[in-house]
Amino acid sequence: MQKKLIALAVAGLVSVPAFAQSNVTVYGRMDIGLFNKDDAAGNSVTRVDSSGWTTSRLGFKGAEDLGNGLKGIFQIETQLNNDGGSSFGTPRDTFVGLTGGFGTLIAGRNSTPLNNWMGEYDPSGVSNAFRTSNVNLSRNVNGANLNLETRVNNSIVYAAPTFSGVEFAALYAPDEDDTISNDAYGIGLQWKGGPIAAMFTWHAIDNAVDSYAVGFSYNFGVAKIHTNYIMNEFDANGLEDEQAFALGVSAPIGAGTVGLGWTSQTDVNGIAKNDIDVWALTYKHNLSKRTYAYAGYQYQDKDNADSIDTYGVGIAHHF
Amino acid sequence: MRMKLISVAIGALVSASAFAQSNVTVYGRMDIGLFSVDDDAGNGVTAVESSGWGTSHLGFKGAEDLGNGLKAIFQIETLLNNDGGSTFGSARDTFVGLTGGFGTLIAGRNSTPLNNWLDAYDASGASNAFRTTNVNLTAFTGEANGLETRVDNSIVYAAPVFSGVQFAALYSPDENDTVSNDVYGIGLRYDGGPISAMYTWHAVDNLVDSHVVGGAYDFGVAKVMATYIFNAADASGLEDESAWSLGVSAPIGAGVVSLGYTAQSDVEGVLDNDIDVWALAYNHSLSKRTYAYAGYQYQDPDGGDSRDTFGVGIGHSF
Repeated sequence: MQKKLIALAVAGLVSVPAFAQSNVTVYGRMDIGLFNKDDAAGNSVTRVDSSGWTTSRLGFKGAEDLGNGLKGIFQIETQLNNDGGSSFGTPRDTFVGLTGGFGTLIAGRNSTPLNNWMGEYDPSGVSNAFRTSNVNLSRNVNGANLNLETRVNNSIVYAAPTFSGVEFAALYAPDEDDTISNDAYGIGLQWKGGPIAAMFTWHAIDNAVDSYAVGFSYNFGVAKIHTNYIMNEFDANGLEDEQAFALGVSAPIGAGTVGLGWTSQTDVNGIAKNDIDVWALTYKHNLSKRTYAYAGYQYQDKDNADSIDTYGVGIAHHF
Repeated sequence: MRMKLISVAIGALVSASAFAQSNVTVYGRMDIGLFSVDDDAGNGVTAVESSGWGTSHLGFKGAEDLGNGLKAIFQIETLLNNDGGSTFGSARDTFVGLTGGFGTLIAGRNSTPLNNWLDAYDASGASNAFRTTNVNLTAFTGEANGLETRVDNSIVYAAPVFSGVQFAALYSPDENDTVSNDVYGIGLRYDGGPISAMYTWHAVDNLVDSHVVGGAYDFGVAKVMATYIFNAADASGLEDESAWSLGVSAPIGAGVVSLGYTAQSDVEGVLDNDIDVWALAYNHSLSKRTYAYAGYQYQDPDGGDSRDTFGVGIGHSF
């Protein structure tokens, strides 16, 4: 009787949801490491940094079967600041939508096709600290809040069902501004078959930039080669076309993978002769399917500024 | 087959985790109460406040067995503002690392040894509103570096407990190449039978050295505890901050009553800026996870108006 009274009191107090608990999956990643990085003045600084390899995050996701093969799906994902300040950083892929025989249609803050697929074409899987793809390119001139290389706010994404290894995805985001159009668009096509993977993506912001990326990888078994080419055409006068070519190789060694990559970036930020070459050597050691330690070195060789060395070791855990 | 294809498409699109769902534990605490606190002008203000006894927080944690006694562990914990404003406050202990026979090695935002251990030597268990240890000390803004609570960008090693002896060390580089404000911490603690004792040293380069000792003895009918804190400032013109405290707590039925006192001298390094604090508190266990509390704290600064705080509240751990 006492228990019952307490239960009633609690129900009244905390407004328990009136619906049955659905299956929400809690997932995420934690990555932290010890790094040494040159700062802007060329002095090396020792740091404990989050997200050296993969971005630390916490997410909640779920699906509800609506019948006839249709499902309602949602995801809420936030970046984690696990080395200081507030716990939660900027939102990552956060959406609600439908999936079924027609494909998947979601709306929210969504990754561009490029962001979803680029990992395949970088030898370190586009690790944050040791990537050699899309390192310094800006692609957001005159559209700073529309990050084409990562996620686009207020976007609608359609992904077709994978058919014979072929994937197609499209993204659209209206700019919520009635004076000048900065709508964002994205289209991606990817094919994976046997040892081969290849992609093409086009992204654009109206009156700001058109961005093209192609990627190709081939797995020889003992080693895999990764290559990509990116070109960003800025609409504004006086800006050069930004472009980058990247080449890398990765190879499994025991429980780990070693990666070596190089990229040559020209006219970065649309500035003529602002060229930056980047080299990186990485090693990722799997402690389990969900936990790995890593070590890496990245060298950025800037034509117009001091070079930047970054090296470090870290650990990451997926949950 | 069609379902499989679709799931592949979703996987590529939303970058779903490629791995099986692990056991993530969702945990936390909610603590809220009704308080009357004197404001700066000396007027009593009635307030509904969060975290009067224990700090309200929400956390996610888990572990993965890597074999050979080694485990990967992680934790994400955030302060909860459960009486208004945004839901989530500043980050609490948030880390990833390894634990095994060698001890525990984690990196992230971590509690100092002092923060982990001080509640054993405070009459009320270092409750937020009714504590009588480390009430007003600032460690010369070493507080801002988290010496008394948590340190950003820190690496912590904790040795395995051996015959009741615990050892922990913390290091945090300051990420600044001009002046060093690296943070260090070392703690040693012993628990055996009725006796508990600890010593911690924490320091911020070019700012402060902080030494703390604590001791407690459990007589069964009551427990007595004492602490001494000494913060030595590196800057000239600042006095050394110090405080000693004495407390007693006693179980009464399903609750614990506690009485504590601390004398703090030269607070913030200002000569004769002394503040005495008294507190009487009662914590009543409604279950192992739920408690109600009532308390009174009296702060008597030498040069200023005294400050009364009293209140009642409830806390629930989940």
